[in-house]
Amino acid sequence: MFLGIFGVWFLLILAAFFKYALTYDPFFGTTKNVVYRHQTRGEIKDRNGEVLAYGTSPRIYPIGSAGSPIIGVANPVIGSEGYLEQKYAELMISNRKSKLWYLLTQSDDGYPLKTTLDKNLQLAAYRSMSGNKGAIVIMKLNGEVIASVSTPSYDPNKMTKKYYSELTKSPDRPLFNRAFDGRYEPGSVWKTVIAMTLLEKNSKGRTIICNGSFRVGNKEIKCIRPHGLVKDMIEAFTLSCNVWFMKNALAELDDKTLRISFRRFMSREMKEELGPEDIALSAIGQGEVLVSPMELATLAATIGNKGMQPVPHVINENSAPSKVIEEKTAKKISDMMTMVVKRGTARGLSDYFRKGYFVAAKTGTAEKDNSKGKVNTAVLIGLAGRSTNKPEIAFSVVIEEAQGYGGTVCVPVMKEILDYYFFRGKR
Amino acid sequence: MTAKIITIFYLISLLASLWMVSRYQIRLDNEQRLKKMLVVLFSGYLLAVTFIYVDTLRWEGPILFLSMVSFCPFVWLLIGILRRYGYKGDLGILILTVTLNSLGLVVLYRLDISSGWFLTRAVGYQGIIPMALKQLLYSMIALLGVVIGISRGYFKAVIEKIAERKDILIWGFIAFALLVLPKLFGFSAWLTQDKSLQPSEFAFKIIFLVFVSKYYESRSSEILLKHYPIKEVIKLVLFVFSGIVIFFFLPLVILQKELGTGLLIGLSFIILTAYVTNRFSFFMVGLVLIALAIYVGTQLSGHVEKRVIAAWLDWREYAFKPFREGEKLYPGYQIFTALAAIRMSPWGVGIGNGILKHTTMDKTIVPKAVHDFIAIPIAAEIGIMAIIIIGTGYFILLDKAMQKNRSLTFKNILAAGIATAFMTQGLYNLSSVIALLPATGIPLPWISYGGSAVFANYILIGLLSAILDDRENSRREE
Repeated sequence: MFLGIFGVWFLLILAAFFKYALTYDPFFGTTKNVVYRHQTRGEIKDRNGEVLAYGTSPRIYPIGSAGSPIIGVANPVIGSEGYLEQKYAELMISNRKSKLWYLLTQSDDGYPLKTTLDKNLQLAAYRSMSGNKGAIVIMKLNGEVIASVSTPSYDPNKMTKKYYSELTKSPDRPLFNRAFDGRYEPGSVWKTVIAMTLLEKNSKGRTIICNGSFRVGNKEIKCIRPHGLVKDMIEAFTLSCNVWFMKNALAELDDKTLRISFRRFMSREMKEELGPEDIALSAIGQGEVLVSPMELATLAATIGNKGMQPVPHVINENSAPSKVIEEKTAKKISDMMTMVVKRGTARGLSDYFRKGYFVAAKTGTAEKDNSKGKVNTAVLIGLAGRSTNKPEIAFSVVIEEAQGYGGTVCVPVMKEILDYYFFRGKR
Repeated sequence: MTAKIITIFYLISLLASLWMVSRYQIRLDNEQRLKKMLVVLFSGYLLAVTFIYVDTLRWEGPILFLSMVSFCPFVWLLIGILRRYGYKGDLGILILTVTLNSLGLVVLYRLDISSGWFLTRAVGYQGIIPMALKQLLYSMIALLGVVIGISRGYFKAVIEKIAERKDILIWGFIAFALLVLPKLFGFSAWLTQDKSLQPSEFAFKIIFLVFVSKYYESRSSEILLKHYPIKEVIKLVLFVFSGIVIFFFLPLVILQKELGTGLLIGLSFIILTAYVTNRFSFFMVGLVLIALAIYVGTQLSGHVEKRVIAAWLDWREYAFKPFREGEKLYPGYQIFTALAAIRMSPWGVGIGNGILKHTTMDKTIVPKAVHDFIAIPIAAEIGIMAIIIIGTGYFILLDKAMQKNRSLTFKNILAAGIATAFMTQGLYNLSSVIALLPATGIPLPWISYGGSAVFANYILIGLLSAILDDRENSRREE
């Protein structure tokens, strides 16, 4: 009996030891895990096998500040920061396959992490931001993120305790991953969602006369210029007429419809009961609408992917896209976005049509009053591809505190990146 | 790689000594086997200590190194003392404990943690002393005492004296006095500042076991009757249970705040009772009662017990979150770091390879890793095999202490009780470091750092080997 009681007890203990030693448990990947700070981490590689981070102390990041918030930094002194180094620490450190082989585990360099990022495109995207504050996300239509930039950034190779405390205190918040966690008013970019919602209600919108401004409650919203007679949705979308979208949203869309429609592309919960003012503001992507650059890129990818919404990811994961828009509707929106490039606010990208490439985009600008006076958030989303009618990538660009509009600030940035994407810098 | 090979050799040496102890009787008259045994034991110990000195400590602290090495000649000296007095018994148990003790010394030496000491402070030296050295001294003194005790028959005499006395309650009063009196005179549960001398160790281990054994012996004729009514057995058990509650449990838990020792007393008691009465149902009922007692305790008493329970059940939630906002306490942090340390590899990363110490402070990363969480450095560096070896060591001790035919004499019950106490304590400790049971500050016998624990454990080993010698002699006479 003695042996029975104690034997079962001891076997339980051994089982618990093996359970904690061998099972994958992301809880231990936390930056507060002092034991993990000194452990060998695996290399982080991009989609072509090029190294983005290697070594342990010091850990070297070949692309430096270009990859900072998304790759992050791991350091024995400060722990780990950023997306990949923090979220996948457990995966990179404890490699369960070689854990079982006693003599081999010492020379084990950890588990290499293969990402979907493209090192060169990431560098090009970072360079194109050139001092702007904001974020860029570029993803394949199946959700693979190939570049994600958030600026201002920090140099992970220079990480010391002092540098780190400077970063945490900096008002620009360089440690904050704007591309994933930033929340911005998308401005006119959100008209894609409104147009989508109208089309799903089988409505083409009414013809209205735009006299340049529209009064909602005690707020006066202006268009860039009075557009006069705006016939239909295509014209309103291409011209980005605020008045047309606000009037039509107020006439045809209610609180419930908008809520269901927005939930597909926006993770943030809107406040209870939207009044007419909120509906009008949300029709032009302001007020209650706050989305991250990642969500905007996913929105573009959904449009380009015939209504199938992909799950954005940096590490290859098995995730099936879900159908959120009808193929017909997605095609119509995509066509309208092509018109924006050909004739509308994103004309800066129209060169690519002549070379036989596919480009579709929508620009947006959200005005905000703050201590510095009027500050714009310039936004651009879009699709691009090497053949005339088939998109390959979806992108979103957000620039904070911009001196201008989506069409004047974001388009040149994206043009630089697309130049690199199409010609690999050979032009 | 070197560290791993050394670790493998060390493990082999530990395993070999356990195997020899369990397989053969180690006696002084079989010179060759004894020598073989000591060579196996010493080679592993010396290899590990030398490797730590060269590789981990980088030739620092030669005096400490020489002291650690001197443990081997010291054990040889003890054999000489035993030989001189013509000791004839089995040395197996003693060598088993020395093996476990040496494992503890190796880990303490590798951790290289220092702290103040009441003895050096008494002579005016305020500096810090390596814990490995202190533990080495405690072990040496205790071992010397035990060896002299068993070779000159002191332990036997003590056992006989206790066996002769018929009164039982006197033991309860002694324990009560030992636990209550220091409190009345203003001492805390710990006699010394560095928490190395603790009266409850002695009260729990020795007097408690004597008390229970004496009681069951006095009622053995009833218990052994096959058709004795169960009601009467329950009455017997309840009687001794109330004695334990009054003399041991209440002063321990309420006055000394020793929740863990109280829990151990309960566990040892139900296992011993199940053995004595040969009824498994008592064990199950006892477990339920203990669970109930813990529940009631947490409901009634303050935050200390609640914190212990929080660190056990919700360690993930409280790993980095203060238990109460006013005072900063992270009850789950110890478990979190402990589990993080063993996650590197179940086989260990090799002696000296693990990250067990803060680079800037003289502190282990797992809080209290030298005391009750010593199983974690062992598991992290020497691996799960070392944990299996420690467990096997306790099992061998249990096996040796058990009598094949269950005659409920005082000596037999005491031997079973001693083995149960070690087994329970060891397994409880190993369970608490991996969040199977709440961590209540129970050390791992012979391996954890702690003076009174070492003394109490060795006194019990002295008593146990005296009983076993006696048993052997009577068998031979037959």
